[in-house]
Amino acid sequence: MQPESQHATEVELQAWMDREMPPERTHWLDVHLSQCGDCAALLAVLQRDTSELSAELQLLDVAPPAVRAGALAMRARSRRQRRVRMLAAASLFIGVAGIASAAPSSPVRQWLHALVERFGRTSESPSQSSTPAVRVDAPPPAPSAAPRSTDASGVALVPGPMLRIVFDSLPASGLLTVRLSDDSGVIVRTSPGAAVFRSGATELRITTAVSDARFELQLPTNAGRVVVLEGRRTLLTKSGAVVTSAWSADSTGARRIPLGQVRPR
Amino acid sequence: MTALFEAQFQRIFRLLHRIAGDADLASDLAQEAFVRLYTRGSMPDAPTAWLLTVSLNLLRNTRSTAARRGLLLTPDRATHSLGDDAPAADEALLTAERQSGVRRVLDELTERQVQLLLLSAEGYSYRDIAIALSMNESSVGGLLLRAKREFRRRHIEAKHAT
Repeated sequence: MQPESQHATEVELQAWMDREMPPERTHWLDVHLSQCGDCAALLAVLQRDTSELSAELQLLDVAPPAVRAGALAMRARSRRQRRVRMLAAASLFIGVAGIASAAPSSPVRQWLHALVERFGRTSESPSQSSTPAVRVDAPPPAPSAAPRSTDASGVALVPGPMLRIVFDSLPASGLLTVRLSDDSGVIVRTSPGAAVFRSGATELRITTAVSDARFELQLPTNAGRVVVLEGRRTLLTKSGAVVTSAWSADSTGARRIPLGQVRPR
Repeated sequence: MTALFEAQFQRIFRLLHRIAGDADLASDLAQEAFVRLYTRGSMPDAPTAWLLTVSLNLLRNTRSTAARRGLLLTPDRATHSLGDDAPAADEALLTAERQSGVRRVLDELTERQVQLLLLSAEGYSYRDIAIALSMNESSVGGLLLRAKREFRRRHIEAKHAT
């Protein structure tokens, strides 16, 4: 308990005026103010200042608008309904897009792929060429039939209805091994540093960097149309289940196509 | 909800109008705060403090948007039509001068001091003020006292200057 002789602070007097003091302090101050002239005088000054401030602020006031709670509740309800409708529309769109992209030969995946490509390209520096972005996808595990080095590099992508795979820089001698698989992605593997891959919505361009590069190409059986070219020479065409190539498949289903048969122009 | 509206709408309108000096804006923002409360669906733990926080944030956002657009959000705060009646005209002129004096003094204070003064003048509890202004409840009294002193000092200076 504070001694009666001790004066109240201005903050305490302010809190007392605002009824924000704890009950025990309020009681002490009630008693103290009845006995201490100094504190009572200080309180009177604070009360006068507060009263003047209140009067000055009231000069600024205007009549409040006539607003009914019901009208605001109705606005809130309509806003909630709009949100629900938007949410439903967004869910429907996502659902339809998901189903459409899952359908065989659906263009939706291609559109999404093109969109991602375009979006990715906008973040590139202007000095970069207009060639599609280099894919950095890690290739999936190799099929068991194919011997592969553990440090092999390559690219994996999901084909649209039409895909061209073009070897645009010709090694002096090289080998391309093509296999069909039940996977959903096109996979190309080679040794590290042997090639640079650039992919767009409908084309995968492979620029070889060594003279005897060996590539292994895995094509999904359910892919649409795939054409593999070396420069302008068609090496292999796959249209649905039909594969056309001058090189026939061996007993393991692999087609071994020599590269570097066309001289660079 | 209706009871809360009846208790708080006019106070919040008055608070926003005193800060912004624009009755239309204050009305829009006070209504928006209640629409957001109704849209929320459930009552917050401290409904009054929630409404104050939302209202002050809405005002701050409106002001910063207006500032970004290069608009000056200082509307004609004291527009009065002076009639032919000379005594009434004198009185209106005097009131307009006093209004601009108060407005000038408020403009000289910090945003926090103005909010403290006006929230306290509306009779809000220290707890609601502390929540609305994101401050410690125990420091509300001291800061409020300082804001009042500052208002009084500047108000007296302004009176002497005129």
